[in-house]
Amino acid sequence: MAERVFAAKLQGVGFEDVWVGGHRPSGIDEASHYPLFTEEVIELMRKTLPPERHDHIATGVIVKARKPSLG
Amino acid sequence: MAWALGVGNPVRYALLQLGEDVLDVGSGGGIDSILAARRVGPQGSVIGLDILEEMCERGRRHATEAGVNGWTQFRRGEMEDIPLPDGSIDVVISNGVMNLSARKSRALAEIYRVLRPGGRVSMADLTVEGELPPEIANDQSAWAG
Repeated sequence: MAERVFAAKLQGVGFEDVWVGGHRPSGIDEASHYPLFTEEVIELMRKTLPPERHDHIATGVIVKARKPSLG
Repeated sequence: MAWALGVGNPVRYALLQLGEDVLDVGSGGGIDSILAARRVGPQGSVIGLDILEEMCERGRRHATEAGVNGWTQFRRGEMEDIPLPDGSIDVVISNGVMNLSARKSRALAEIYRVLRPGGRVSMADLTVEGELPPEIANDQSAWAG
């Protein structure tokens, strides 16, 4: 999910003060421990991405938002 | 693995206060729930929600070992259908979980529902900006949001 999509989805359900920060690169080795990626996808990444990309295939972020107060 | 892996530290960014009620969506082995429980203290409460009963059991065991089980519980359930009443939570945290939902807007709407007015959410997750080759980016529907 793209960062802008994440923020838009939060705003879409009513959240306000959406903040995205704490950006941190995530490489293939780290992603291999994440349940989103199957072994096949990890192997595909290793084969198709240039080696210089292997240390940054996604970005870890913190997303914060607030539900509006009453009134 | 005893602890489910996360991708960041949502507890640190949540700025939890003593006495707050916290929901940890996709609590896994319970590490973030335990960290949150230490922040809110016994005046507050933490509920860890996980789709796997096995992970809930691990969370309970770890919370007991950490001495926070008195105000920390783990429930099995789906983030798209959170088994909690409206407006019952001050802070929702999650760590590397939202990308795993095929119905992200539904999950976020559920988080919104269970939060009290003025409540907040702090989530850690992975993002991409369309820079992966199509055969990879299209492999998981979760990427597309």
